[in-house]
Amino acid sequence: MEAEKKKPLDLDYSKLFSRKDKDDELVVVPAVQTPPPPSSSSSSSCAQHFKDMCKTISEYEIKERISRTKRTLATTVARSLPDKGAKLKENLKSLEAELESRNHKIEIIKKAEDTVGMTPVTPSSFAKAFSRKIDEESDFVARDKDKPFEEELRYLGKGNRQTKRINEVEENGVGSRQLLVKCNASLSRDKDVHIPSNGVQKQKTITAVKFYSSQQDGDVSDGFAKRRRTSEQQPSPRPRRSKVQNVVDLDDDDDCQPIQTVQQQDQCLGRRKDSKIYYPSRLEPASVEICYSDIDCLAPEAFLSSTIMNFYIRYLQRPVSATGKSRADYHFFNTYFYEKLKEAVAPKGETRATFSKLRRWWKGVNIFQKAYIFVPIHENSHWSLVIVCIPDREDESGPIILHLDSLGCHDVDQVCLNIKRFLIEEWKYIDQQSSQGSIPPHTSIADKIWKNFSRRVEDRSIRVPQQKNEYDCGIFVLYFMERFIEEAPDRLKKKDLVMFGRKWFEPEEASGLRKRIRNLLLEEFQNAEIESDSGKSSTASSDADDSADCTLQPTEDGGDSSVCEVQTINS
Amino acid sequence: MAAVTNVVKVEEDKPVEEEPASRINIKVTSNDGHGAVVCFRIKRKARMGRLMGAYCDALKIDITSIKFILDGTQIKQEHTADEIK
Repeated sequence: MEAEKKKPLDLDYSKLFSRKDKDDELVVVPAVQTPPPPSSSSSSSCAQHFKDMCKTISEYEIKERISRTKRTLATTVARSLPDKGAKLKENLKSLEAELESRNHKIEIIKKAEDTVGMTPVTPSSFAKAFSRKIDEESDFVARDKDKPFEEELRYLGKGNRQTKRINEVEENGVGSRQLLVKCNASLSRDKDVHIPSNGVQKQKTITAVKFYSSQQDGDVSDGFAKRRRTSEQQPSPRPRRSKVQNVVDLDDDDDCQPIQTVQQQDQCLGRRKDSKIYYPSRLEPASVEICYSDIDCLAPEAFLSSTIMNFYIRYLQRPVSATGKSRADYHFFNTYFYEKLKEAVAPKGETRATFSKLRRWWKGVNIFQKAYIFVPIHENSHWSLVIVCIPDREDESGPIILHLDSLGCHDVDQVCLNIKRFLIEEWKYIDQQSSQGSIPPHTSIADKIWKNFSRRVEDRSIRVPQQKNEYDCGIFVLYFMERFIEEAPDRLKKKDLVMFGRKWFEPEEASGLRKRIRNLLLEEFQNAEIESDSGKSSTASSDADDSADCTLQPTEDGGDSSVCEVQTINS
Repeated sequence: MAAVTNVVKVEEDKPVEEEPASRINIKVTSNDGHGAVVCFRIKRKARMGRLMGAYCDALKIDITSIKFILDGTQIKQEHTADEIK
């Protein structure tokens, strides 16, 4: 492919130029329209056609065409034409006429506005008012210093408020009033306080902040004053880049309104594009939300998104019946995990604190009891996969880190180092816990290995089939997982590593997965539609996992785990 | 190679002392590299959809382009703080 690129373009100049001379109309005729045949008999209809075309194009385009036509006329090319450039001149005339008529129209509109005295509401009018205010600065002393732009802001505030409301209603479908974001004014003073990751100090900072109680809209003047403060705080040029802590107070009285959007989606089957499904079901706490538009990234040659990756990873965890293999020995992390892992094990900062936070990602699970841990990795627009193999108790080897990269794009050493650090941190944590409670750690690793864990973690570079294109890396990661689950033994031993290799499977097999996932998703969407349909016709029968039902009866899942969570925060 | 949507990590803090358990402070951290942090104060029984909407409004981003993740699981709009933590 590279050799092809470097080859100079093979151009036949004589051919190119001779053709250009023949139908030079191409210079002026728009690219969208087919060039009219260069016959002199239909010249009048041609001109009419051109005039009509002039009306449809923009003013800027007209100006550009005029200058281009003039340039062409100035050169010798025009003279060599069969009609000596007469047609070009005609076109130029109609272009100029069109431009002039447009200018004329604009002037008329402007005049009309002036006579009526109705200035359109534009930002420039505000700017004018603003500069006028600045000119009148000397008057400030006499005025209420606190409210120099009260009038203007009231004007602006109204506009903002209206548009905002409309947006809210459209996008969220939640009651419009309670969503008015009230930024905290007292925070602007605390702006530079960098909140450390230490839990206690953070708590202090947050409690030090004074919050506004929810206010009635009836109090007009105060409401506007508040809005003004909001606008004072917001216009930092790059709000996302700054590390400013904004506290948004969502305190309001009525917040128990059900979300309407979800129900609306289910109501109308035709609006399939907006529909969402939850896999495996909405009731599941760890379900994946998939929009219909997410399927787009399964189109041929498209790059896979995290949502689709997570969907299929979740799909692989479904209880299997055919092979009978239990999924309990596998632990799957989702695509967002590696990013967090990198942060947590980074050498700088307090690893201990950040790591205990990271542990919440697999709370209730002892990863050293699993046989395999899957970590999908996304870096530099490329997907790869890490599989950590935890040995059997009888086996005399340490955990093995396998990195499967279908393109060899990722830095194997760096990835393995991060995973290694993560394993060692987890080992430290569990070891500490067990030594404190003087109970042996519940792991499947032999005691001898466990003692020297940090030295026994191995990483093996393995060869895997390579993708033959640039867009299938996500598919390959999922296919690696699928194949590995099918073929790997209960516990991997070093000798089992021969199963991998460049010829593990054909790249085409992996590419076929794209279509399979797509069909799978379409089926899921269809099922969801049928379900919501039947749920509407007979509400009594749809008590299992109907999505429409859930909005009416909020689920109480995760009740037990919430207790766990609080404990981890406190500790 | 993939167009990955922006992921937002949500962390929850303990409720403020004076009003035990009725309200909660929630910190939303963006992972787009700049690490913008926005704090919210919301009733424990309020739905998360409100928080998401307010976050997207404040940062002027499309709500469909981001996902809210708490400890590895995606938060749903209809859940309340009590339900998910």
